[in-house]
Amino acid sequence: MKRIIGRLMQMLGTLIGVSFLTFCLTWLAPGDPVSMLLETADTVVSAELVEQTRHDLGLDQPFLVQYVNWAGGVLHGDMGMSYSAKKPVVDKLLEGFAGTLLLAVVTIIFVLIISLPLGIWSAVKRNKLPDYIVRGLSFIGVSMPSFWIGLLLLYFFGLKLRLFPIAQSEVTAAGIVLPALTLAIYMSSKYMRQVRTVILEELNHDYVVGARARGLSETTILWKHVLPNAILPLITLLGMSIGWLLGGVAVIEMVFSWPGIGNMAVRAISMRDYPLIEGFVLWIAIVYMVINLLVDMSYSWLDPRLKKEAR
Amino acid sequence: MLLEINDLDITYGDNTPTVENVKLSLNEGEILTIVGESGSGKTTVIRSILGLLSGDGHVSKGTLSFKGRDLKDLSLKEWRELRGKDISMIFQDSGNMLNPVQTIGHQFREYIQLHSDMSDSEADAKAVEILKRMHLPNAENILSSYAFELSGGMRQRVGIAMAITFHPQLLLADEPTSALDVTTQAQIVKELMQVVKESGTAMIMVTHNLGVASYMSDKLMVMAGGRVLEYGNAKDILTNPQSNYTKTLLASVPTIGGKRYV
Repeated sequence: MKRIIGRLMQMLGTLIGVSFLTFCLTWLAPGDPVSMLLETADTVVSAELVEQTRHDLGLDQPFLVQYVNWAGGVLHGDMGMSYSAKKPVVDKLLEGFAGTLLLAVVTIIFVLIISLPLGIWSAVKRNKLPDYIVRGLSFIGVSMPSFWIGLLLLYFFGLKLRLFPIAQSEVTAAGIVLPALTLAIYMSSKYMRQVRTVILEELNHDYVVGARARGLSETTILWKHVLPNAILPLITLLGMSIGWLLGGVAVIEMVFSWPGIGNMAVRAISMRDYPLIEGFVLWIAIVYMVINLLVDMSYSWLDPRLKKEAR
Repeated sequence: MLLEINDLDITYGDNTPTVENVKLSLNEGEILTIVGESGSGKTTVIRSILGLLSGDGHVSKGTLSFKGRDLKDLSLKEWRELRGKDISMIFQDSGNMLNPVQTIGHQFREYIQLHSDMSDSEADAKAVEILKRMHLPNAENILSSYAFELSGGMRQRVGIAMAITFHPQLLLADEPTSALDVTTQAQIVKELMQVVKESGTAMIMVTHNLGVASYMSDKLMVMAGGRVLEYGNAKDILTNPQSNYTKTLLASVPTIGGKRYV
């Protein structure tokens, strides 16, 4: 219990730090949200209007006052209004999050389907042909930028074969395949190697020799003994990846014009939409912290050594 | 003859053999101790009997035959049937030889059912019975524990208990008491001797403890640098060593009141 409270306090501190830092950075960045907002339609705006808008948005107040006002709002569950969309930031975030969450889930499933079997296969057949093939594939995958993989997939499966839509403004089942596959190919290239390394490391442990000496088959040893042990380090990696995905992978979302949170964030930045940027960064920070917490909890749940310690 | 090893060379990779020209034979119920310093190849020798050499270690010359069968001819399946049933092994730290994230009972049951067709409850009852034989109180508690929760002596007793489950004809013990404190060592050695004698199991034990060796063995082998320096009847070697290495080894054992306890 004490640990959990300590952990929550730590999270609160991180959130304050992160939000303040973002506030500083957006404030320092060149560009003025008011002119961005008003000058979109090629019209000349009067100085009064600019001043009025600036005042309405609270941008004429000192920096610290702006931050305190904003933070006070957040504590009351109000993250402000998006300048560009004229909607509450919370609504915008939730809108983008639906698409991003779906993309993340499908991607992770693809990653697991691709990298677990290939990584295990490569570890078991170490320094034999399958291992070289898997390592070669993973090298190619890591070397290609993900947006390039995305463009290739779009070209072949979207444009040539017309199997999947090229662009979408809504979330569809067919539309999710290519962006998820793009991310999965990119991530799996890393994961295959990670899985391979982790499995090889586990295979070197004494308990594997012990199991062999008791007469267990290699298959039983792999599935019932090595994998449950290898899951632990892999969960950490998976947690980081899920955090990364839930932050919205802007490049991929842009390439596929996927209506996710990353796409939204890029637009918010180009529009100098301060409240939306703040909301987005706060969102990412929360996602990472929650996932870290879940990973830690899963550890003490999966590893009996830590379970005893926690009691 | 239960086990016969002739002109055995063991090589790791493509290098020169790590262990050369090992020759030994063992009858039913006989106890052989291999002594030697770290790196002398003693563990390598007993691991080769189970086909469990680490890394790319392999038998590069010579023969190992168990009950008249050449172990070279065994298929993977035949090896698995042999391991843990006819020949079983005790390690320096039996706790490390168990999966850290599974209970001892889970692995004990898995092991018993692997070599028999007992039901879950029969296997558990058998496990309890064997643990009790190794003077482990609260056997049920031990089965629901993880290896890391037990003390060194208890872990070792569990390891021995598992190894003798199927009354193997040959028990390989790789420094079974080296990780224990002296009092526990003495107890474990006594208990090990008892179960081995009771079930008529032959044993090869690797140790660098000459006291243990002299207490237990019928036969003795002295190894250094991957070679066998001396091999034969334990009493003969201890009273009348031939090689200088053995003489130095014996001289290094402290004496109490002018009497040397080996």
